[in-house]
Amino acid sequence: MARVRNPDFGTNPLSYEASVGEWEQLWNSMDRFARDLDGWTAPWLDTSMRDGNPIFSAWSPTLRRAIRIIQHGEADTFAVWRNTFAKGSAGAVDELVINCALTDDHVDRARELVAAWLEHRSEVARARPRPSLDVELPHSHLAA
Amino acid sequence: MLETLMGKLDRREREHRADALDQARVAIDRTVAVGGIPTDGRYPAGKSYPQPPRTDHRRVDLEVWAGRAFVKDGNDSGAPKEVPHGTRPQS
Repeated sequence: MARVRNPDFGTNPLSYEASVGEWEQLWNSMDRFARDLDGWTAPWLDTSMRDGNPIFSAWSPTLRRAIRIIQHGEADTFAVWRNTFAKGSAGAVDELVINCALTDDHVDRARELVAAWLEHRSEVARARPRPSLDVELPHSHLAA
Repeated sequence: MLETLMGKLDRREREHRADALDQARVAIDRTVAVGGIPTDGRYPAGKSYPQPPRTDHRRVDLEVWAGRAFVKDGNDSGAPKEVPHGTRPQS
């Protein structure tokens, strides 16, 4: 079984920050030209809950594409999918979501996927987002 | 809110997403307790449940596009009035 780094990231602030640092390091290792060309910026999403969901995010306002990385603690579970964030709105964003643990193997796989997403190559970039069932919420559930 | 979502699903789909809905409910309650998620036009919020994910990719996504979400009813925080957000089951 691969060793999960910072397994206590959900309860230990130092482990959480160390995890954030690892994902930022991955991001910074990506081709800078590709990131600068399309105006990628990080972070993109709120992380105030500090629960690893997400642990890292970045987006390109130019391309309206994003990356969201969610960290959990199980070394044998790696998932990736595409999603349209804010689907149906003028601000819709096509996002690549990587849901994994902080292991060497998962980080390597995430690195490949992020690189492919940035460079518009591979089946990751060509795959279509899954269809979803949208639910209209009662207005009373929206903030005043 | 989650009950609205669950009402859209049949029994089997609800069972498949029971863990996701439970985790989302806990997260929302925790967020309400600290005054909601203020995106302030800067950072939207996107979260997916359950964690860790299911192998069949069934999940529930929470998205807050703008404004402030997950605040107690009647709590006028002065945040933007237009707060589109959604809770979406994904197959």
